[in-house]
Amino acid sequence: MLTKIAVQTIKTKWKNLLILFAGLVISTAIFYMFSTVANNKAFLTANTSIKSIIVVFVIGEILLGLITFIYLNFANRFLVQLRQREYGLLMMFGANKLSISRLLFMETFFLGLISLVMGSFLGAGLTIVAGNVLQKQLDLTLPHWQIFNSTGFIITICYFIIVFSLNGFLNQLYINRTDINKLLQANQSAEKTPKTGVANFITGIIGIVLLILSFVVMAQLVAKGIFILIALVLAIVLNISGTYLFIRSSLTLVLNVLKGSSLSATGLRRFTLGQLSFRLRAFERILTIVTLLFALALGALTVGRGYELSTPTLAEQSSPFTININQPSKQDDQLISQLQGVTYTKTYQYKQLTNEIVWDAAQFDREPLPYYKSSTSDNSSFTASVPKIQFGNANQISKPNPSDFLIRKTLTDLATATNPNHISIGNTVDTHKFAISKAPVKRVTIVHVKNMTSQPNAQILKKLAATQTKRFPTLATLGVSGAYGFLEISKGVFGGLEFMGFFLAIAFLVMLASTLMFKVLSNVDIDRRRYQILTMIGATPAQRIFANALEIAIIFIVPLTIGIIDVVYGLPMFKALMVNPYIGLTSSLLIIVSFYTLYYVLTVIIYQQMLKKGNK
Amino acid sequence: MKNVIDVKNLNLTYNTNGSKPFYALKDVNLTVSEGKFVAIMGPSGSGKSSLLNVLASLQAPTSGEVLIDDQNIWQLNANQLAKFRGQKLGFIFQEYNLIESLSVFDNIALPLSLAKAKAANIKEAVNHVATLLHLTEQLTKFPSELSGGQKQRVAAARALVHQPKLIFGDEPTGALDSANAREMMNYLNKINNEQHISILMVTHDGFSASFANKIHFLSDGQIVQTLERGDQTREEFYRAVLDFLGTFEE
Ligand SMILES: Nc1ncnc2c1ncn2[C@@H]1O[C@H](COP(=O)(O)OP(=O)(O)OP(=O)(O)O)[C@@H](O)[C@H]1O
Ligand SMILES: [Mg+2]
Repeated sequence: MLTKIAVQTIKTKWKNLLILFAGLVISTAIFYMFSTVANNKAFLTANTSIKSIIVVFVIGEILLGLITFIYLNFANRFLVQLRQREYGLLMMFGANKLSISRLLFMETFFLGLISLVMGSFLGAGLTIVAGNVLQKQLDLTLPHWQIFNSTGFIITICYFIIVFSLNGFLNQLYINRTDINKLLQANQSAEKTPKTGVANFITGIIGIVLLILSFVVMAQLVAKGIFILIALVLAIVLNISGTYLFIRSSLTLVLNVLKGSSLSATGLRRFTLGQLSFRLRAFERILTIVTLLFALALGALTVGRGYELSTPTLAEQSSPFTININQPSKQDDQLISQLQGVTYTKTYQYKQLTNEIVWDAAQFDREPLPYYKSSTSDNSSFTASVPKIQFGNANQISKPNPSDFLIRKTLTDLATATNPNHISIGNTVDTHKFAISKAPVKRVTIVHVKNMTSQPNAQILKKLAATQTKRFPTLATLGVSGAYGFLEISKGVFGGLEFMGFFLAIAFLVMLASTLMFKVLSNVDIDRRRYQILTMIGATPAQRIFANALEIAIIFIVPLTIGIIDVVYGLPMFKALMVNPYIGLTSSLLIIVSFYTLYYVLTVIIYQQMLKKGNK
Repeated sequence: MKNVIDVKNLNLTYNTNGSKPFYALKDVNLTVSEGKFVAIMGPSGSGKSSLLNVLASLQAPTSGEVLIDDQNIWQLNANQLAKFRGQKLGFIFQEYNLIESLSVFDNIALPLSLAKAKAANIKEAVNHVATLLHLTEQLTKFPSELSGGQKQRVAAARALVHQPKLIFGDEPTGALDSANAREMMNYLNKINNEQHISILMVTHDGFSASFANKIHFLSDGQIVQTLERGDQTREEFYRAVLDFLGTFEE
């Protein structure tokens, strides 16, 4: 009999159960995705230069665990909400409380188990897709990359089994504790909006203070690597509790102010406000974790973008030419001619003696050598701009002014490929010496392009560098000179972080989307009747859609604002790791906010569809 | 006298998947004159709610005409229909149909807010109907904190607050005990007499129906009999209804 009823429930409420199920599967998948990376120690250590990276990921995993826990708890309550009326009815007709609560436990547990299995598969799929697409997109091949990690998998399984059992147990407790009448009146009772009194004001102030403290800890301790572990945990705890208190008090305040204002009297505004206050308490927790996810996603993306954007700039700063080709072949020349946005191409001749490289001075008068002026302050390498390229003739190369001495570096960099011991070797610029030497003439071509990461340049430069390395084995260990060579090396150093930034951003965004969508859509059933009543009373379709869109908009705006504040003030945390943590902020904001807006529209559309469907 | 409701040859067919169509309303003709209180009675499943839903523009008929206040409602589009309902109609349904997320005050005020009335006017109107229906003490409460009778009175207050032409009631006393039902009917009577709002009410309860000026009896989707109250007192009319029901049931 009980199973028959359970099957019937699935039949009639499958849409709701589907939302629930999708939510569970996605959260499992994201946890799997994160665990796979977090527990891949070889990958983490091989791809970053940061010593504490493993600790950071352990903390990250705990944080995600916490977020998932709150989410699952919420999902669980939704399940109970779906079932409790029925359980109440059954009990009223004399069903045994114990068997009912056992049934609910089994339901919770099995639903969890199925989503665990499916979530793991989805997680592996997401890891493959996100991992491979990203590496391809960023032009990286990261060593030790895995799509399955046994430790990560075991942690995922254990974690979810524990949480599902716990939830099942809590459900059992809830059913046992709650009287039948309450069960039958599920979702009917209101929580009144708390008053905006002194207590609420103080809560808000405490929230703001905690948030500010968390930013101070991030900028002063985490950024400087002081007690990094404790500092990170402290920052997170302060930030979460601050966010929670702030959301709680500001929402209460805003709702009360709006309710009091005469503006709220017209149209469906009071209805929207009522809806929001009715769910205020449930929203506080969910909005806190959504805010957290928003900030994490935006932060991760900003750091990833930061590396992506700043490495070409750093590379540009490192050398006034993009690449140098020693002894260019016909093919090389042809490739060079295909480069786009070329600032200059210059070819020089030299002769290689045992202890020095001799350059014909006259050629530098014809084709001056590019260089950067050395900057006066030490900090200048921290600026995000690329200095102007200067050109110097033979005289300047031989006797450079103090501010022009980097011209010698350009000269030294030109012929590294043909000289295994280039550092100890001297470079002489002398027309006469060049003329009398019997050594064969060698040639080197240097090119500068405006953009070396865009196509087709990236592709061409890659080919050029590859043939050079093949021809001159020295380069295999030394790397190609010039800005392009620097870019390749920094990819090895920063590529891992860049990748992790993007990977985590995707994971957090999916989790955010799932949480928010779940929270919003879990209300459809309750709302449907309310919107029907509104129809009956004379609200036009447009008014109804607007009321609904507004309600959802307010829910969406809270994490957006606080999340952005979190990132803007939290970014200094990465000062030790990157030159300018803010460099990727604008573009990341653009990406995430457009995604978020699109997602908002989608949510409203789905909501409307679901409201309509139920009418039939 | 002018008719607020004029129904001509109304048919409603339910097409359930697979099985043959079910004729819920068959060629119904009916009028309600302005300011009158009309009841519709009939056994369960006879089509009372279906008729009311069609008249109240909540459900489209299969064929036939529904004129309310001289307006053919099924010629209006969704927006016009919404406006029409908001201005001219009020509803009191069996399951109270209150919005749990709104306070009693806000529930009652809804039709006025929708019509974009001024805050001060809303307050005045709500207080007025709240006094009329003895709800002044309950205004700040939420629906979940009310008794069944109180909820029903809130629904009545909401149906009344914007001074509609016509109030539709589907078993407005259905969920109430006899004392509360009598009270509710007295209120409706008062609304009808003092505010001159026409009422069309569906009920299976003869006592409630006896408050009306006229009762139509529905059976298998057809109006089979009509009783006029005329000059009878309510008690006399009630007895007449009971007598009729005695013969009708056989
Ligand atoms: N959506 C529907 N689809 C198919 N048949 C329906 C539908 N709604 C109602 N019916 C049928 O139409 C008939 C009339 O239903 P209606 O709800 O109007 O009855 P009623 O007179 O209000 O009964 P009660 O006094 O029990 O409320 C019933 O036989 C019912 O089974
Ligand atoms: Mg009915």
